[in-house]
Amino acid sequence: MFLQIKNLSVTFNSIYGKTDVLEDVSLHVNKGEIIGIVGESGSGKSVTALSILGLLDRNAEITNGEIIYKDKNLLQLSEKEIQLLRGKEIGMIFQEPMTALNPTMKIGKQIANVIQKHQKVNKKEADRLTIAALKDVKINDPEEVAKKYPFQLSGGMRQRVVIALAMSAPPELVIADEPTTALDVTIQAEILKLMQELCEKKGTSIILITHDLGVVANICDRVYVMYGGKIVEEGNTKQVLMKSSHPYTRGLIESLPEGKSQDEALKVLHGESFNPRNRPQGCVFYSRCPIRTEKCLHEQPTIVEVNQDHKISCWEAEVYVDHQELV
Amino acid sequence: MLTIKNLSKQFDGVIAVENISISIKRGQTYGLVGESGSGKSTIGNITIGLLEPTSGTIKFKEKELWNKKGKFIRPPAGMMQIVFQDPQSSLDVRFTIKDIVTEPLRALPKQMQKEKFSNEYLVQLMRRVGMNEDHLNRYPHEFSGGQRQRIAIARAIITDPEFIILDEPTSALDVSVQAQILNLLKQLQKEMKLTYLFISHDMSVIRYMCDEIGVLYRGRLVEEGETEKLFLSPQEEYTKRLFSSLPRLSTVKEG
Repeated sequence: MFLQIKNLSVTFNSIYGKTDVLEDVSLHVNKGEIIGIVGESGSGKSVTALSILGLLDRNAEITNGEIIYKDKNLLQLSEKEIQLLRGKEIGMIFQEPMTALNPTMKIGKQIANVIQKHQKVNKKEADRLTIAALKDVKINDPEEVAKKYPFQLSGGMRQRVVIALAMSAPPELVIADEPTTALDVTIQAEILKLMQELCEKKGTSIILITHDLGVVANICDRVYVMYGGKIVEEGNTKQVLMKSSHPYTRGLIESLPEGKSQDEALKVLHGESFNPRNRPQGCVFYSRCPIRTEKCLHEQPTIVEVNQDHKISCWEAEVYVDHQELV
Repeated sequence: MLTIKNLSKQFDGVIAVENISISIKRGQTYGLVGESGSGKSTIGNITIGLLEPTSGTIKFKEKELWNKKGKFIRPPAGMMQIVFQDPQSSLDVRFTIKDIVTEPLRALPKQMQKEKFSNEYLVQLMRRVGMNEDHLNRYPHEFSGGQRQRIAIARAIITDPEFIILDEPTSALDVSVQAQILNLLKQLQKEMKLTYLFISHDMSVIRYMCDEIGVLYRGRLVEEGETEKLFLSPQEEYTKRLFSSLPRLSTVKEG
């Protein structure tokens, strides 16, 4: 296994006291694979990603677990050692491209700097690689774009530059946190295709964090569904989306307007988004669950295998197993 | 209900909306769909009187909304309302929910104000949007995104409007909460015989909610028609591209 997160738990310290935001999260990424982490606000999907690169805020405390990357536990590396991995072996793409770029530096220089640092080449060679990197992300006039500042580019172009930056090292793993959420759909489609191509061409693994099940369906090989800081369902994308066996995933898919006729009311997950300050004793989904029992209130569910490629964390696992396909 | 004719709007020479004509029938939901910068919110804002058109006319129930001097002629108070995208910023944090919800009443005639300020009416209103009377004395920060949007909807319907502009009403919400709000909007429409102008960039939401849609691209209306017809056989190149870009669950990757 290429990257493996084992039993990761994270707590935030704030004026309200301690808040557990991740509880016992385990996941893995294979070489050349695109995995999705999908969840709504407060599900812990971004915290999971940030903890891999040691980018959590200072008020965050990792209370348990390990993150094994190529036989090293990233949580035990010094700041200096992890700095060597960031950008070089593990790249990061954030949601808002404007904040990820330096507004006072020309695009070409930003990319060339990264290339020079990670690939130990001279300036001339770095400049050449920069143009190649911009071409790789389907920018038609790379020489022109390299001379521009971030503010002179559109959102879609900026996100391409960010991807070019993240891929320039080139890294072995890219963590993309809602990379297309701030973009229009037509541009989103292009960027997703681009990421997929880069993954195939260079064998890069990608962790894609998103709230959009449609995006997951289109590009991820496997998916982890998070709710309330826990992974509630995981497995092969097709299985998880079409044969969702956890009441949350199922409810989420059924509540989408896609494919519904206008005169049928949408199925609704009752209640409000998860609030980590009111973490329940039992199952995190208890208050909104349509199939909850007394047991779920008091005891946290264990992980159950639906089959070899599909796991859920639920006491009532058998309920949906033989249900009809969703999509 | 609403007729827009040859509407244009320029900001310092930049064209935001160009020569747009649409008409919305009573009781219908008309969807404006488009990407950022397509001008969809500009049209909403001109209709509600927040922006002045450069040229063109808008008629609401046969009456012009903007006169020749560029002045907004307010339709009868409370007849037209708007719900914005972000309930975080559209509710004043220093007001109680009661203050927020009843604010539009100040524009109504005295007699109607009296009736609607009554506790009974407010309780009924809150229940109608899926909240309860205990919430009236609380403040916005005590509520989640979905609840805040319910409050914004309560504020819009308190005056018994006939027409509501919904500007991306669920775009800031989690998917699981979005369904609740869409159901609520449909139910209210039926009960109160409302007409909606529904502005959104989300095609699956538009398809589910609207009777007719107009597709905007760079300030122009590139295509218009009945929702299902348009989705099944879009004619214009841009519409086709827009519809096919939407990531769908039904095209799940094989693996």
